[in-house]
Amino acid sequence: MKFIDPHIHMTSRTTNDYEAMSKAGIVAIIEPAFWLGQPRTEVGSFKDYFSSIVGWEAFRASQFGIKHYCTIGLNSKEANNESLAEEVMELLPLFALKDNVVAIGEIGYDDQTAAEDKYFRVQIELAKELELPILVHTPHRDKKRGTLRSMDVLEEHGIDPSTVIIDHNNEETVESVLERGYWTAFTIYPNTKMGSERMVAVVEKYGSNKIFIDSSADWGVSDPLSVPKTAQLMLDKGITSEIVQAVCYQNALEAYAQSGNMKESDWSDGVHFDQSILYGGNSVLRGQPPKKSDDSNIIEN
Amino acid sequence: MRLSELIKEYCLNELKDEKTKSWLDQKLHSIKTDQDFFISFALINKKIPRGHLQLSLSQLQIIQLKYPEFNIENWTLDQLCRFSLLMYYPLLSVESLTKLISVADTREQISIFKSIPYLENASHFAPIVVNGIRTNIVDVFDAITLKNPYPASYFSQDEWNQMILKAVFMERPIYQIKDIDQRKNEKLAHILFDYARERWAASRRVTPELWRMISGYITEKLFVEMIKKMAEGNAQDQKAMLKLIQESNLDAAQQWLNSQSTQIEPISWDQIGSDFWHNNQALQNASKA
Repeated sequence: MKFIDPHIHMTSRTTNDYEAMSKAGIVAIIEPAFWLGQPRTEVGSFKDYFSSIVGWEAFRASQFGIKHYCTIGLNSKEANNESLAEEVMELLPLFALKDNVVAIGEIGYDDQTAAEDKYFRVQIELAKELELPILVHTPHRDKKRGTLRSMDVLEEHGIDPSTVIIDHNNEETVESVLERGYWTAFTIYPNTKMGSERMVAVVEKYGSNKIFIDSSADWGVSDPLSVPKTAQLMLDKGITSEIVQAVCYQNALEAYAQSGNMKESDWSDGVHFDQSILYGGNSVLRGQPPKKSDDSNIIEN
Repeated sequence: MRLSELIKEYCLNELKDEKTKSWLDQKLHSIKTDQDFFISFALINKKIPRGHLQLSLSQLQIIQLKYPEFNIENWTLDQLCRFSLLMYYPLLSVESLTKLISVADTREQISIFKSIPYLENASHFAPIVVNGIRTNIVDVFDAITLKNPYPASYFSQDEWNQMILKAVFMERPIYQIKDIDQRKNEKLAHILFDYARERWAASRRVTPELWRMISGYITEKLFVEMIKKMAEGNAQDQKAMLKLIQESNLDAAQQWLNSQSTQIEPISWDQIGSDFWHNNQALQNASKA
């Protein structure tokens, strides 16, 4: 079975993760623009970070046979630094048109401040102008209210819910998000977000329509194999493979294919970095093919 | 006809969509500010299809005759449109090109580095290209290093040497580097021989292409070291080392050659490189299968 992880922060993950992900059957990933764990203080940091997720990280992923996409946006936390946020707004159009950008995101609320609200709305308008889907980060504190408010604001701006992915849902938000016609994503992340067993229960209750999962693996204790592991758990608990395919691959593809930048043919024949280059090689850095990780103490020569 | 006019003509001919065609035509003649230039350059990604050009035989012949180095078969339509924008923008400067590269994705960077050799005052952009070599994105590195006249024309000796060393390190096809023989130098030969020693000490193989850049600079001492290692190499390594020895003026080398009974088949450095490269590609494809 093939998998997509539509929300994972690979800049903070190692090649061990890429190897494991590749081995587990993950063929495509989406890396939303986010913060780095501590607040950025200069617009240059954003510029170089955006540049790395449209270029370098996509290359790094390709070396492991994984097709990498990203979203571009100013996350809710860093929207609170208004003078910096203004500068970032000017950068966004320069990066949002790149090849592997599948949405404006991840945007939304963190503390639900006035500044967060302002830049959420500015970026919603940008997504409209550029005809890109929107990835919404729902707050981890006061989540239910924040999620409802996010949807209200999107609708105020005339956004079609089927072009929006609301992420980090839980048992408290799932019904309203599904009802209002949004893509309903769940993050399988230990302690702070969904556990995989709870996810099985959600799928048993609501089916697979408009539902998909991701790992949001980042610099914290998180698991880049959340998607394939949860898939296996679902199968073990008797959920059909059609439903598992939808929740762990097909729905994410459908949601983000709306950007025009993501399609199955991008990875169905294997991931090559730039097919138009006649002389460029796809050889792996350091001359070694991606290998399965070993338990032995010998590091390959 | 100038190269930029030829390419513009080919691009406009190729664009089937009237709106896109007139957008490009208008932009090429009207961009007057950096901001407009950056946005137009970025929009190529969205507006221009990616395929190779469908050129007529006569079109191909014209460009191959006048600009053989351009290798038009290696360019896709979107890359040629970016090339045109760069060639037609009257205010292109080191500053604006530096900024453009800093926000460019991989595909755009490849177009830029392939275009730079043809820009007016191309030499001014040397620091940008030298900095470009620092990338670890293989396709960008290749766009600068392989089949590109820029490094041979504008890099200093040290910059050239670093590029070759990195190309060897990254296992790129050396035979595809333009003017590789013309820019050989003694310093490079010694750096590369040191690199060979490092690899041998680590029980790792050395590319047979390495010897091409050392040919002509071999000393007695190095010759003796090489001969010792020759027996350990495979057929490809031995062919390359033999070729170096054949090309050497060293007495010791000539004497050793005369003492060999086996006939040495003539082979070019390009062929040695091409065989090695295609063999590696096949091995990699097999391991992925």
